Amino acid sequence: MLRPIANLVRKDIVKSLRDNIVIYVLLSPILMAAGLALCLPSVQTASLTFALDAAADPRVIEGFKEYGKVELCETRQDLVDRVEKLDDVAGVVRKGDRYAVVVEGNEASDVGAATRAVLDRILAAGTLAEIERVSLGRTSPMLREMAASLVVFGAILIAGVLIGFAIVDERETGVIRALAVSPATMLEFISSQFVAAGAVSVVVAVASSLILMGAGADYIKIVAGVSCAMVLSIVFGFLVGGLADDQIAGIAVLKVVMLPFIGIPIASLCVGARYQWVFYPFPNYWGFQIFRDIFTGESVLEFWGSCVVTLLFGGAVIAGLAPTLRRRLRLR
Amino acid sequence: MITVRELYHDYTGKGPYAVRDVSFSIEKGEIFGFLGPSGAGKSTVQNIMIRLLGLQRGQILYEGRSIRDMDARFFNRIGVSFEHPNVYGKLTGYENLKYYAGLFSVPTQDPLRLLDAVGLKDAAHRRASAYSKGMKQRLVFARALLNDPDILFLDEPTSGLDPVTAGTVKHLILDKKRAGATIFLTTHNMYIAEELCDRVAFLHEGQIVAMDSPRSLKLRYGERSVAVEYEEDGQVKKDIFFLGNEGDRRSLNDVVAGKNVQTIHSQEATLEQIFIKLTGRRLA
Amino acid sequence: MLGRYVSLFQQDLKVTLRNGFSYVVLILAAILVAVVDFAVPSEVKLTPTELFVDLTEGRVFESVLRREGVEEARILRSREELTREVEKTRSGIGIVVEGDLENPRFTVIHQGTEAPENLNLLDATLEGLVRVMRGAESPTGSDIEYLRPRAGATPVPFNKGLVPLIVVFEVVMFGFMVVAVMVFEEKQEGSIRAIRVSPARPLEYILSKASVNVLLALVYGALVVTFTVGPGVDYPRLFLLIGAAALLMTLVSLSVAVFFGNVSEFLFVAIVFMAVFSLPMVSYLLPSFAPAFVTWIPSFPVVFGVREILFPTGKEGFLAPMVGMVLAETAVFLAASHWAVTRKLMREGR
Repeated sequence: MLRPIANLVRKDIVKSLRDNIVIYVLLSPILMAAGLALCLPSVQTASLTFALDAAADPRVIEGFKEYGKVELCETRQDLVDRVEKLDDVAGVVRKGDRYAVVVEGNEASDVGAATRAVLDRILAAGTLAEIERVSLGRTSPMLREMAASLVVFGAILIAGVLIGFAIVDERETGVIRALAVSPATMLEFISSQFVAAGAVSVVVAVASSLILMGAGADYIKIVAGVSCAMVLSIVFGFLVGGLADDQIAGIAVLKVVMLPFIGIPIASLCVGARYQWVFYPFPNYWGFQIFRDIFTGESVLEFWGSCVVTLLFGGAVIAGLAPTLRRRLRLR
Repeated sequence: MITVRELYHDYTGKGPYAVRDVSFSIEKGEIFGFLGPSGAGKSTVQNIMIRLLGLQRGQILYEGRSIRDMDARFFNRIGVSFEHPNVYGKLTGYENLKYYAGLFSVPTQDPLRLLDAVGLKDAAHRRASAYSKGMKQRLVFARALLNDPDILFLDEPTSGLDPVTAGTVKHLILDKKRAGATIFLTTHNMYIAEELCDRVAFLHEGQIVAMDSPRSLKLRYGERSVAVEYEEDGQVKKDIFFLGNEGDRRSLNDVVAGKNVQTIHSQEATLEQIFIKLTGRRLA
Repeated sequence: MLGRYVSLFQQDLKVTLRNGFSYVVLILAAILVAVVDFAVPSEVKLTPTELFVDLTEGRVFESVLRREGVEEARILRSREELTREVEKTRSGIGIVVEGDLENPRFTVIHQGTEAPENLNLLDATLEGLVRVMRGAESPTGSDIEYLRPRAGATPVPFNKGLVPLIVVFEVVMFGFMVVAVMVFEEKQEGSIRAIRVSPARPLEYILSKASVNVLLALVYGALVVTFTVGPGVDYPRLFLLIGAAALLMTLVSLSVAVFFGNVSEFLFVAIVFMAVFSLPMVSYLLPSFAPAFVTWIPSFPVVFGVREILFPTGKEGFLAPMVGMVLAETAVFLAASHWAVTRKLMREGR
């Protein structure tokens, strides 16, 4: 059984190397992780921008710099133009020895009131309240951890796409019929896909974790987690490969399947702990829990618990799909 | 008239030439066959002539006008039947022709009539992806006739067709010739070439090695021979005797006089044999 | 020209529909509508969640917080409970109030990863709250001037606020893959060779493909918008913006896709492109995140434009320059795609 699998894996690797696909597969998530790593600090520390009248008191200008970015505007029209731009920016104009806050009126948060509070605080003598800060001393921002868990989960998706399109390609060119008249069995076919795509997703997951989280992440867990969640890649790949007869249909199926596959984990991030049960029926939710546990330490079950549930759940789905697949791919 | 002069083409820019110093001309209303094995450069020459490939070196003139000076309207005048059937699988045979017809600014033929002519009337409203290879081949052939072209480029038009359908296609080609169309036929099938072509050119490793009418080529390069089956020592033997060869002629006389001859056939040299004689390679 | 364009358009439309993309649009629209209307809550806070414990005498702050719209779940009973919650939620900031209104003492328990500017801002907001509670006027007499009447009296519910995101980053981007897929199918079937030896010109070929995708985007967009925001939308303006943006996306995709051999190769490159085009999503959800490079991405103005059309705040005259900008970008990519299609698709060999 091992030799046929090794042969099938070798064939897949040679084929994707010739297509440059491996390069794109490896490069695209790594590029994305790098892009995220570059953007995240500015998202994480995004602070308000204030458009200040250049004629404002230097004390006010300096004062505002402690509350956000400051842009100086020479005329009132410049300031209004700046406020009217698409982002939420409040302006501060000087009127004699008084100041007024200028806002568009469509800002998402109450930017105007916050800006007035800052202005009051800068101009008022003394403080109104005693404020003490206690830091929990975290060093890794949550956004970065969430991004890492999503990108690594994305590696699972990429492996799924790879499997799906490999199958579509084999069906389209008719090669799958040659496999069907070879001694290769369904199990060997699945295993070969598992190994080939697994290798790719481990590399992608480790590389993007390195870029986003540095050397501090638990890489043994990442590799173990990816190996377990690979069962989802197979589900994904077989859905695409089984339903689509050609690459065009492949894209159509991909569009539909991808939405819940990636949407459910993202949605679970936005939903509070009380309603997480809504996602329990979806295997990809459990796969995502594996990586949430690794990166943020938050998950419904612990790491190994999520791994086991994902494996069992994914395995059950594959078992459910197998008869249909076997028929569609004409494998034994 | 189509004139091709000193045509060269190099795919990589680093040599060697896929086509070297190819020159020929085709008269109006003539069927000109381009014969050669795969990789000889037939499709390269045809692709340059239909502007799929850029003209790198040499000249191609249609009625004295260079192909370089032609704009997209040139395609109103030509029809191309590709070797590998290339149709929209998601569209029906009829739709494939209907939408393609819309691309021409000259009157086009009725798609259904054309489909009928190539024997696809019953399959006209089935998706082309469900067609057999031969049906797709006929659809591609029909598509080439849509705009009633004066010049028809046919690349292996009968490959993959059963003898009956191949016969239909051959008739249609001859009909086009009678209607005055000039036909450039690329093939490695010597029988088609012999049957249809007024003149043929043999292409070998990118160069034309011989060009004339099939009959003249045979007269020039071919040797007539006689194949005889006779009985000897209780067994049937077969020998071929070349009539141009003094020794063979004597041996033939001996066999006819002294043996129990069962069959005797005179045979002409085929284009295939001539091609082998000239190049040392088979056509197919 | 027109006749050839119409023929190509009908052909492309039919092929696209037969490829099942009409069903894909319907299924995706149904899923997205269901998600927006039923799954996403109308209120979600994406910026750090402040949690409060009022330990002042008579809990004077609690009632004010409630009046300001702070929901019950964010007002906790004890400092320990607060610390536990802040540790657990990871995005939370805890605020403990002690003392009394005259001498309030705040303790801000934060994660440690927040920008100092934002913590200072929180301080200022807390002082502002104290000032309001004491009934004191702004000491500086600062007014707030609204450039436009406050249309946001009833803020857009969070779930409906997602519709502009869906329209720009799903509906408009839909064509990005579809147009590439159309090209790859023609390459694979070889049907592109028949186009090459027909009088059809690259421009007609490009515009036909683009039109099909614009049409798909308009249908997709209309479905999503009608069943989420409602039928009272300014459709002509919405269609103008969606159409222009979808045209741009199609042309960008076409300019790139012709250099690839098949969908599998292009797919991963497309993911990177789409990720870049989706970056303004972050700015939309977190309006204070708008670094210059994000504002240069064509989808940045479009998503805010769609929001203005769907939920008008009275901003006037923004559409024409926005569409003009998108069309200028479209012109650039029309030239690029024309060059690419002529060089890589309509010719063979070198």
